[in-house]
Amino acid sequence: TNQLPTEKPLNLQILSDLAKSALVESLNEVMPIHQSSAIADEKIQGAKTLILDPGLAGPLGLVTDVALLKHQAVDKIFWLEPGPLNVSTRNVVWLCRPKMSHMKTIAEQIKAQQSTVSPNGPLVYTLLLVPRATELCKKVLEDEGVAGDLTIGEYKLEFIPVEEDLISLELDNVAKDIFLNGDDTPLYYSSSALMNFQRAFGMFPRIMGKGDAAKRLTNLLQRHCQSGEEHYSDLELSTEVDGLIIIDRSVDWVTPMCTQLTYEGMLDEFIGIRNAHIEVDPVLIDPQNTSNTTTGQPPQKKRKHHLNGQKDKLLGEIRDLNFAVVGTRLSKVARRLEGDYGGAKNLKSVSQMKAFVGRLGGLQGEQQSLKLHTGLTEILMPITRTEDFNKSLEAQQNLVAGYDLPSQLNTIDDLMAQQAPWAIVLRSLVLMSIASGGIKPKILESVKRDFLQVYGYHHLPLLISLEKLGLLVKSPSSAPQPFPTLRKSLRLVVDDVDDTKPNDISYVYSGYAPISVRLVQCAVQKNAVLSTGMGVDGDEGKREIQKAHPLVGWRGFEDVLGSIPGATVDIRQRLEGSRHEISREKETITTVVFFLGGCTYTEISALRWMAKQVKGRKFVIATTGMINGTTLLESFGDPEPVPLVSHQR
Amino acid sequence: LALEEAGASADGEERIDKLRVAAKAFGEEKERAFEAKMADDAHRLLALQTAYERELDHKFSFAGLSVNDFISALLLAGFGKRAERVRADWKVGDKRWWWLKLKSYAKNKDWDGLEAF
Repeated sequence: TNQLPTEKPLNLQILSDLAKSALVESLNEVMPIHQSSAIADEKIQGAKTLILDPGLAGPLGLVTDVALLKHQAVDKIFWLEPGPLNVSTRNVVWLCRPKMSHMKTIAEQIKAQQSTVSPNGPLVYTLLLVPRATELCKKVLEDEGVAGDLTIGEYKLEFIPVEEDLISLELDNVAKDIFLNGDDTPLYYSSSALMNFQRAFGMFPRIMGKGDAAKRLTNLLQRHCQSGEEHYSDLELSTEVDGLIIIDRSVDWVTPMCTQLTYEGMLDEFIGIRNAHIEVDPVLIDPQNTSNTTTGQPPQKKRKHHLNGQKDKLLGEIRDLNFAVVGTRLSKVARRLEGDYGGAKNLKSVSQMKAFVGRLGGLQGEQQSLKLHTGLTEILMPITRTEDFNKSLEAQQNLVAGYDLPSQLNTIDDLMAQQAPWAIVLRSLVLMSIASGGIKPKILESVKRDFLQVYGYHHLPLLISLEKLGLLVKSPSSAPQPFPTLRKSLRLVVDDVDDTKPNDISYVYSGYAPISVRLVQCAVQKNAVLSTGMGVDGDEGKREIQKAHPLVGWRGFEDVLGSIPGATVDIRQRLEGSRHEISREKETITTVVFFLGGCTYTEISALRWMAKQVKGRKFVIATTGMINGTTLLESFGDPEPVPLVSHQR
Repeated sequence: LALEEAGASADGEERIDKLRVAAKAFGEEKERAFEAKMADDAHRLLALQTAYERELDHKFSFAGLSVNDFISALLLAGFGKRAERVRADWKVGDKRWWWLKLKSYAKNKDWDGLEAF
């Protein structure tokens, strides 16, 4: 067999270690500043009460655990929520995102605490903002009159390694901030995180990107380099990373609107993955609990389970597959495991027995993970058979292909009449608007009117937001609509894709190739965009895996890039005087793909599949957070209305 | 925006007022005729819902439901006439109306109704 050279991935663990040590450092910097006490230099390293922003719990859980916190003298942990404090330690530490509402809560809590006398003497307050203390927050605290009572610090939680090839800032609502509200704070966080990435792995020799926000981010990165700041000035060009490709979400709204069809994508769509965790029935993950059908117990509370492809090899194997083939793969594994266990009968000698017992632990682990994924597949399978799922999927695929729009509108209308989940309907409507360059004014108004009647008038702000973003507009629209031309120039719709033996990235949506990932291909796998996928089936075994071509910019695709609204970026970062070439002999080079505004699991799957098609190039996927069409749409709307209280009974 | 405030207020009367404000604000912009109409519809709906609640001695809670859910709640409770009125006022299309009828018959196990259907 053809032995591939060992392609060692970039060691991202380093980022996780950095995040951890930064947390420890921040917590230990909690030094009391005694203003009332005379002994100013007394250091109280004592116990702390930690008050945590619930929105940070998930991301934080990926870099640390409670044990580490306890080790740092954290006595108790509370959620940050309005209401009085109940602390028994002298040190109080808040750890939260720089949000106005949080600042107000904290100010209230300090004021309330100060009016009562504590048995421990005056309390010492520290506020750690993640990842940065903003001027606005400081201003709010000043206005509330508590700025002098607390020490403000920062905890730079940046890229969190979620998988071997995936790092995420785990920020929420980035697309809304940047593209709807015009708030570039997340750009600043991203630039800072990417600078620290470069400190760890060297400077990106080349930065490419598409989209106005991508351009602004590139400018920020360059400004950091030129700022003369000490820790950025001695950066050398990386020898392991050949470049950074920034795809800004506004370049491709189509992809997240489509229903993801990979295993992990489906889990996210229909069960929900947050911060790499999924909530499942404890029966599926508890090794002791083999069946719950015996007792009539009330259903147990769902438990969080960490999805990780390194710890769970089976997940690593199936997560990027099209869901259509997951069942077959699972039953193969089941049969193999059965055989392995069956091997116990044929053990003849003590040494054989010993070897078998040694493997038992591994087998049990595998069995456990097989049980989990079979269970999850059993949840997803019936969903794929529902009419809602199949009708909306068919409509989506036809819309993307630009096929018979009036009948798709009819399907959407049917879905509404039967009250399919609102997000399914709206995602299809957005697809229709993008794919056909807007919807006729009369039709659009009536469909919006029906939508509000069926799902509630509280969605009106969401519809307005979508109009502002150009995602649900009337035709002829003022903005250029590039999708119909892109369909051809980027070969977005592929008819002959085989879910079992994919020959193109479009397998992740059973026939639609994500624009975002096609753009990455324009930069790193030029012929994959052009080729028609022919000649792959016949001589697959013999086909030599080609070596990746170097990152040479958008050459050959300038027209395509030009047809998409938004700036195109292609710059080289070269230090003055020094010439730098990455030697062609180097076995593996890594390209970082950064999704500004979030990415979907399917896009990750597509990139992973791409990396396997050539040798010599790996990807690290970086993102501001994980999204899907539903979470994206939800972020563009107002919060759900609170239930009404009827006050006259 | 007044709309967001409306969603945040748990008090029915207050929300009705906020929706009226929102409808007016939209009405002042030419481009926003559709939104003005929708905010006005939302305001009318909530007003009607609270009115029906009063008429029926607060035995039911309708406030905050969407048009669809309101009609189906009325059908389920056997207030066909009131449901018809909501249908007419909000110009609910035939397809949606028949689906609502069908589902309410099925839920009530009204086999005669289903048969007649």
